[in-house]
Amino acid sequence: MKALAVFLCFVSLQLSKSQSLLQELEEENKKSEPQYQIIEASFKAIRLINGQTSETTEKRGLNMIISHRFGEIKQGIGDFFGIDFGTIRLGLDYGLTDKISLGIGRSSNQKLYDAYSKIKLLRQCTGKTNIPISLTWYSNFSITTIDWWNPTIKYNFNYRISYVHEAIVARKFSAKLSSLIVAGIIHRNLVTTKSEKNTLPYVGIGFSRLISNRVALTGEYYYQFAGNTTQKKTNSFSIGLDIETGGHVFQLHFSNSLGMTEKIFIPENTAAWHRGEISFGFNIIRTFKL
Amino acid sequence: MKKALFILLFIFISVLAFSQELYKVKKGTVKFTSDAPMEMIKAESNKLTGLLKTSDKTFAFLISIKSFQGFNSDLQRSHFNENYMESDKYPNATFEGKIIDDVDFSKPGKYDVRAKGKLNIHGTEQERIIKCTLNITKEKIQAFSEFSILLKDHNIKIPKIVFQKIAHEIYVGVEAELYP
Repeated sequence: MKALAVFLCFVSLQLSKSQSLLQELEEENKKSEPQYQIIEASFKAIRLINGQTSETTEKRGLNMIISHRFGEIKQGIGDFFGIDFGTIRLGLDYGLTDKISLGIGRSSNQKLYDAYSKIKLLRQCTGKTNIPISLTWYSNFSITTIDWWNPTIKYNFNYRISYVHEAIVARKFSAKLSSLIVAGIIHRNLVTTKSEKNTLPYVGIGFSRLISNRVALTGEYYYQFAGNTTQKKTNSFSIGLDIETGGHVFQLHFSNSLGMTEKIFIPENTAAWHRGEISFGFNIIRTFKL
Repeated sequence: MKKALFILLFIFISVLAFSQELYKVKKGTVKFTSDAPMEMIKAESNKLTGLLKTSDKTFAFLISIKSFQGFNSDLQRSHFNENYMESDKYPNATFEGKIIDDVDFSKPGKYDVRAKGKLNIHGTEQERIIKCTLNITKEKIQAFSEFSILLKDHNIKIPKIVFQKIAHEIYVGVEAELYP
């Protein structure tokens, strides 16, 4: 009887020390967990390769984007694997708020000026409120300014204008892997042949996979819905590498698209990977805080 | 009858063992400064949590790395979390230990004490003795501390390209108010 008494006393004292103070603190903190934690940095930059990511520029931030596409590599040593030929796009993207950004740009390809807005409608978050995806809306308006091919015909100025609208759905699956799906529609006021459609719906998929803290492997593919293209137009496929340093992201890639705006790289590609018509290109995205 | 009485007594003793004097942080701020030749970075968080057991002078503090705000831009804060602190892997910084100087928590006054314990940042633990000032009043305990952290002590790597922009020694300031 006495033995049982001593044993019980011993056990009860031991029970009172079973949890460390830190564990007790962590448990208490769990009870008052914040409403939600926003998942940040799904992608390293606001653009994936040619297309957009779900990211927007931070409030009062300015992203400067210099994009360059060289000619086809298979041109060989004569044209130095395409380096002799190039198209360039210069762009600026300003963050009006943390969710809304505005951008402008000019491409040498078709001497195209474009302006766009990008709005974060939903941000992926965890916690008491759980939203599994981010949803960003992108609307782009562009004008070509090259001379018309037939100087004798009087073309309407409106023919130079095109519109793009996209819904970008993205998810950060882990610290290393993010992917996105794009559903979009492009409307070009003037197309080159009768068989091409002025209004073209399309989808795109893309991913970014970190291979080290600062380097990510990226890929994207844009598919135009069948029946809306001429036989010669191909879908855009690109793979690349993102290298991030301090305030720059360098994006190096191979693609069959020469365009760097949706108006060109989605419906107007003629190059194809299976014919070896691949171009090397890069984007440099530099972030400033105003 | 005697048996039942004994059992009740033991349950009573074990319950008493739980109800010790426990102070909890109601307001707590942690600030840090990186003073490097080419850039000054400051950030702070007011989400410090902690417990202090006055019976044996043990304590535990915890703060979420993602709760730090300030920085020179959102991109810098994003890099702080993603590249340097890896806050997805190591979400919290903790300090757990014991006050090694004598303190009478029932007597109000200012006490300069040393807190000895394990400081865990970026998943790496360091045994530290940190000086701290306790201001004990009837309703609460105020704690103030200033100390520095060497980034290499906690395996936080700085790439050569930003060597001049991030200090190797970070100054930290802590202010907390604890209530029973």
